[in-house]
Amino acid sequence: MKTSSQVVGAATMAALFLVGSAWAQNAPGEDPVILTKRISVQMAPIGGARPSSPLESMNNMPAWMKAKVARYEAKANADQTNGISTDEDATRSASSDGFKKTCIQEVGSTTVASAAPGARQNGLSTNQQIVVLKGDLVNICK
Amino acid sequence: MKPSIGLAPVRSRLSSLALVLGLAGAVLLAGCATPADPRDDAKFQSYASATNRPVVRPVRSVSSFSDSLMCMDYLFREAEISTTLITSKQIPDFSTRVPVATKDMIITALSQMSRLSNAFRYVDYEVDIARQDTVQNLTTILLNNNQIQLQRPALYFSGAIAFVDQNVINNRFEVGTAASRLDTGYSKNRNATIIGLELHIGDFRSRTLIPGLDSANEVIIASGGQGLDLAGRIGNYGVQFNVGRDYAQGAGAAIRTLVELATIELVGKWARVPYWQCLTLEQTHPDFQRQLRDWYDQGSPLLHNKLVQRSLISHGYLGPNGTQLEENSPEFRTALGRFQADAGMVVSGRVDFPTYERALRHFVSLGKDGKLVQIGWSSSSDSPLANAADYQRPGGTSPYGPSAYGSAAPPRKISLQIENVLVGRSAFEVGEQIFLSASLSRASYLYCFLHEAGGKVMRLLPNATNPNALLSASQAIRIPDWMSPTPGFIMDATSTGTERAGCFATDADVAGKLPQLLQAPALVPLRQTTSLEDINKAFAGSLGADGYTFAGVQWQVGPRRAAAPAAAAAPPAAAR
Repeated sequence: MKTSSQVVGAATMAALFLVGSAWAQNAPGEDPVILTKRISVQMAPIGGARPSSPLESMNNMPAWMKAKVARYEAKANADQTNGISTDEDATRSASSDGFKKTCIQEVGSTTVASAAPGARQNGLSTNQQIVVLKGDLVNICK
Repeated sequence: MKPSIGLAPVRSRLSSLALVLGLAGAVLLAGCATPADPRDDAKFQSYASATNRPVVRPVRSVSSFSDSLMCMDYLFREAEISTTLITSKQIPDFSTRVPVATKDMIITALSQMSRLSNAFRYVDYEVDIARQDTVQNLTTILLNNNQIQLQRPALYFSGAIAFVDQNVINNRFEVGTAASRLDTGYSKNRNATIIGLELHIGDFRSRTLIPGLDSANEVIIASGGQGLDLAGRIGNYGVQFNVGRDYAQGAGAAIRTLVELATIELVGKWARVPYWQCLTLEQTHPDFQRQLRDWYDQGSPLLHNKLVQRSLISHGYLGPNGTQLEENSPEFRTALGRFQADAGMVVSGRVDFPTYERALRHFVSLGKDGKLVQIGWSSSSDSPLANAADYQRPGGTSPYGPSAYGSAAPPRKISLQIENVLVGRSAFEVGEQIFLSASLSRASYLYCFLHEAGGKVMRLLPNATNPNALLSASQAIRIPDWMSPTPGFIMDATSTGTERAGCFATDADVAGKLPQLLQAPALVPLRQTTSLEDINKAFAGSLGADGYTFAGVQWQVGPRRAAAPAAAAAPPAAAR
């Protein structure tokens, strides 16, 4: 058995290339590819995989916001709907201009009853505009 | 007589108000006329650097099967599985819902199964013209000048994130009330999503997937939330209250769990080792981390220290009086650092939850009701309990682990192995290179010597290239380090006969006590030392018979055989 210190202290770039020759035989787990001629790597671009987008575990409103909606829905069904517009507050208008008829149905429009009296009640601030539709809002324009 | 109301105080208050308003106006005008001086905010700004630092220490990213990976590593080492070159295809995400580095997780899992055993060596050669980086460009240049040695993998991983079935089950509950003074709203929802991963192992030489080496697993990730919204009126005041709490289990942890399970199954089947022993560990229980966290939260910091100290005593990192140490004592922090490094943790030198979990994980088992229970300890006291006999000791990840909480430390062990593949041979030939590896059961100072057939004795470790004798138990020590760019030396047989190598491990640095052995130059014959027995006697004389641990291996060296004709030369040895 002999030991060789030929690579001792070879922390240089030159030593990096000597390593291959330091092992006269293959070290454990080595199976070098023998190259006999210049290689030409087929450097074709890899077909880019379609990028993934993060999994959205919450595919709808978060619970805290849903609780708020539930409260407004309950309030819309109560007898005091101060500060909340419902489909009962819908304003309908129709205008006819010759062969053209225009029907408009507005609920909670800022041009209509934007500052309902008592809007500050039960924590609502005046800049909130709550519209709760309790059912279908159908506009039949004849 | 009615009291008269004086007008003078009212005038005085009005004039004061006018003065204040005038001054405020003047200040406002002056403020608008001159630019803001950032120096006024210097103190406030000075907090930015400290505020920018994360407040929670980073921890190792683990899954339920991370301990199983360590277990596999021990299995491979015990089975003396030789190193295999392996690589992986890209693992595409066909669901397009899981942007996770799956291939890198496979590499990590393979690496964690090879820390002690060197079982797998990953071949990292990828060509993508769209991503020309330093490594890729230099590889091309060096390859064309024969200055790099590409390795041919024996195996490869193939597979994909096969599917994501989103919101398979989804429950919602909402309720609201309204009254004249109080409105309430409450909402609750839960849902579950399934992610599936397919992995296979292929034979690289034939580019075929090996029959039976498949793994198709799926895992459930869930999310849920609760919200409460209150609004009301108290007198003339309106009040509003909204609170929500949600959880969403991420895809990253789920994929790591699937990858680690799949790699254990696949390489376990391939190597024909009893891999199922590693999948029945209690640490694979999905609630293991959560249960340990519950127990951790039940105790005080002082109790955490004492529990960990007792565990470190049982593991051999602290002496019998370790529980007397303060948390900030250097001896305790040094022992803690060694334990954390050996356990593959982010070393902090502090008793935090990951340390608590690592220190006590061997003393947890399943009770009769299927719940996890503590064996020999409790979360309210550090005194050992006598219930250990009621439970079978779980299969530990480490065969070197302690027998019970509060027990004496098991003796330190050194595993010294020959790494060469001797297919059909019992001896080396003259001129053949020899590769050894050593691993420790706990971090120690390690000194290795070689007694060659010619009679010379020399120290291999520590040496000029690897001067530090203190080594962690989390990594095998390659002698010489054939995977290092600076291995320091090579060993090859020069004469026929019996050669021996031996390693000595100690708790402390003993170089000063044995200068003739440990301070003499490495890799040169030692004077007045003719055998490993001489070194053993020197260690015993200096440290006592129980003050160190010894392990040795020996091998035979025969004469060099005549070279075989080129036509009959065997193909390159398979890596397996």
